[in-house]
Amino acid sequence: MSLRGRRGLIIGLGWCVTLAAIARVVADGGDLGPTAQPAIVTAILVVAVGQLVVVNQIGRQMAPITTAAGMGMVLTPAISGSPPMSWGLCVLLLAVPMTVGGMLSALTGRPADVFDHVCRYVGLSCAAAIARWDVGDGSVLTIVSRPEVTTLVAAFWLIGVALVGVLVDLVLWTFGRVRTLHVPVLTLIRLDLARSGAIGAMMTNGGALIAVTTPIIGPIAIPLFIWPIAIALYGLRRAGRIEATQRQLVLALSRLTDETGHTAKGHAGRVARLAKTIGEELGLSPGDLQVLFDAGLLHDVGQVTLNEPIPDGATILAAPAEQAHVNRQTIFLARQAGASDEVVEAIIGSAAQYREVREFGAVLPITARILRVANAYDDLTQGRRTARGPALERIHLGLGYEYDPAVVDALTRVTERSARSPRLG
Amino acid sequence: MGLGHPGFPLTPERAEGQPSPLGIYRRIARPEHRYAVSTRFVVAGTVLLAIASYLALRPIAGPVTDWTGLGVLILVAAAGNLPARSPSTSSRRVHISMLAALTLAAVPLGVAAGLPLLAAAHALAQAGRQAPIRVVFNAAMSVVVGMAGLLAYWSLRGPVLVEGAAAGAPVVVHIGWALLLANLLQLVVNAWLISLVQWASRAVALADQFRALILRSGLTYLATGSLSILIVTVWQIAGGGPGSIVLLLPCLVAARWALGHERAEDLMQVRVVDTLNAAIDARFPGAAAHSADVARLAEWLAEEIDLGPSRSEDLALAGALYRLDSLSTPRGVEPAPRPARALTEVDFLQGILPILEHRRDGASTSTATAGRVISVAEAYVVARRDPLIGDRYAAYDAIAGRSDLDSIILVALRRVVDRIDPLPPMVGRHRA
Repeated sequence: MSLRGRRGLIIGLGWCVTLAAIARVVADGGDLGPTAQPAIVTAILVVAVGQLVVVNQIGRQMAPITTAAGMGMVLTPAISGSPPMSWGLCVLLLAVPMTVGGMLSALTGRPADVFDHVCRYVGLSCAAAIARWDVGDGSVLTIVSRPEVTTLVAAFWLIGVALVGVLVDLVLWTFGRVRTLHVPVLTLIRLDLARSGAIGAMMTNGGALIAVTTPIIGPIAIPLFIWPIAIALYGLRRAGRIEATQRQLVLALSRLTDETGHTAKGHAGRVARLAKTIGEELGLSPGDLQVLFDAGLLHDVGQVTLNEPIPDGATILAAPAEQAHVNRQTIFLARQAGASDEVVEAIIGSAAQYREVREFGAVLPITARILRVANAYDDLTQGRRTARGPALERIHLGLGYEYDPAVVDALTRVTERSARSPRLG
Repeated sequence: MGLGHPGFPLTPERAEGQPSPLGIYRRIARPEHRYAVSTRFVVAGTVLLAIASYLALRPIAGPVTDWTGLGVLILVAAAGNLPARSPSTSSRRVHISMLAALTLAAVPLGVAAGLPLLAAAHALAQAGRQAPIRVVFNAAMSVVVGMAGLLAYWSLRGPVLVEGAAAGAPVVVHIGWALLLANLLQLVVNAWLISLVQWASRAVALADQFRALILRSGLTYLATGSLSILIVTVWQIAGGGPGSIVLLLPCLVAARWALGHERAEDLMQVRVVDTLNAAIDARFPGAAAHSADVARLAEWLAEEIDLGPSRSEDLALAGALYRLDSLSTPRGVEPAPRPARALTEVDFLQGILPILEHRRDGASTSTATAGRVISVAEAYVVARRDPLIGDRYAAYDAIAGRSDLDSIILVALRRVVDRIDPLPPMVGRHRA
């Protein structure tokens, strides 16, 4: 099934859930039950507002406040003696604020992917259904309302139900996105669990704690247990800023050689882009492409330590001792900048000739071989498209000795294409 | 979180995995050995204050009504102060504890008499990794801070809950605002004690340090303390008992992780400056140590002429990077390279770019003061590190008559030199 078909299927599932909920409410005689309870009204408001506070985790838009408040609402067993809300009513009370919040989010220019909203909605609806499913001895909501069931046990029951709802959301999202990211379903699920496991645990726990404490302390339970989630979101923003600063550092270092006059303007950026393009041509994974890009940006930073600059910053034309010195200093500064081991390995390996692989069986990562070729090409062309022919000719002279033939082939293909495109060269 | 733990700087603090010792331009690296005596006085005073406050407020705390509950809180306090790996890309260790939330929760839970045990467990969790004097100070400070919270809560008639007592929304609201106000008092006491010990150990301006701590860490502190309301609600009001701490662990751990990013972000910024300094140092060995001296003195001078915490910090950063220009290659008739332009996309350095540019242009008005401060700091550092010039006063005299240096800043430098030796003799360091 195509990607669009799968996404359409899941959005259609959301519509089916809503229609089923309407049918259920009509079948119940349109009884709105305890809808006017202050706790329910508060939950509805928080669900809507939560739609405006979205975090992006590996391409997935999560609304932890909406999920926690929604879980709290659908899992609350009984308030002031009233029975729990019916499943249909629960789902409709979720649909309205989630739709309104989603629309507000879109109107205010925030990220608002309908597909992600629908996955969340279906996950919450599932949790509501499971909590009301009669398991023989009554439903979960009936069991946790019994006086002999302690608060702790009740909370664990509800955490279990909330967990199922959150997992349904995750699996649906993965099913609809798997082809976009070119990653297997299970890998995506594992990645998502690893990166958003903490926030997922907070959503399930927060929802269950809201459900357990609302009958005792009323609507105040909702903001109280949403508060730690808000703190966690603040932390995620900070984490984003830290990542941004790391990126800015790499960019600053890549520009430093330009601004100090050691390399031609834009050399590091061009090498990074070209290396990434060659990597794409050779079918490297997204992780390796990022390594290539970072290594490309950092590969020449050691030149700033030279008192006498290499002419035009072209290390390919420098003496071997000078090349080795630059490579050593680059590795030192890259490590200082917190570059990953893979990036450092690519920079180290880019100094080695390909014959070491062929003749001595040395292990040179593909990223290093690509970086060496990309750097040589830009050193020879200095960003001038007209120099493409002579540069390729020069690189072909070192084919199999200096450079990996497969990488050079890829370079030839991408530069040929770039001759027609304004972006590369 | 206790402000004392992450902020107390009796020994220069460096995150595990920091690749270089160049992060010495910061406040935390101010010379400390000359102030050891006054630091010990402050630590001893804090210990006495802890004992006195505990003895004075012990009747208010009443007996411990739930030893199991106290045990659980002690366990969480100790575990919460163990280093946690930050899941950020920098993968550095952060040190944020939940002590404020736990000490506050102890009061309505009826275990306030056990606060010294909580504080001791919290401090001892770091015993092998910190200097003993620091552990003692942190433990004593935690007791004082805890007792301040107890006093505030008691003054506000905050209820102490007993098992089985009926409680609803009004009780939660009462407990909530009493705990929040108690937390506010704790913040003030905590920040004041840290400022005092920093004043003693590094001669920082007391009021300046207090203001900076409140502004930088105040909200984080209050956010952490507010989690005590959750603990009390689930534990006592909802009847979850001590086991309910398990339910709250995801909230506590995630909040600790989230708030730990403040420090991780700070460390990331240190890494940026260290890396740039490492590049300069690789070309001109000893330049980083020289820049660190200039940065430290520039910050000191900025405080002395009352430029405010933010500007002082900018000056420290600008001082640390003032030799960035030296990375340029010599050019003839071509336009001169401007290395500072490489930093235009680094957000947190935006404030210092005009200062770095000003030093090149000499024409800016908005950054003129900052540029002059760095010039004075640089001149003094060169003089102080000259082996032919004797002590700090001789170094000052050597530059005092220079007409190219700002006389007002020179007067400020004189005040600093009179008070302390800003650049004690180097031991085992490179010379610029």
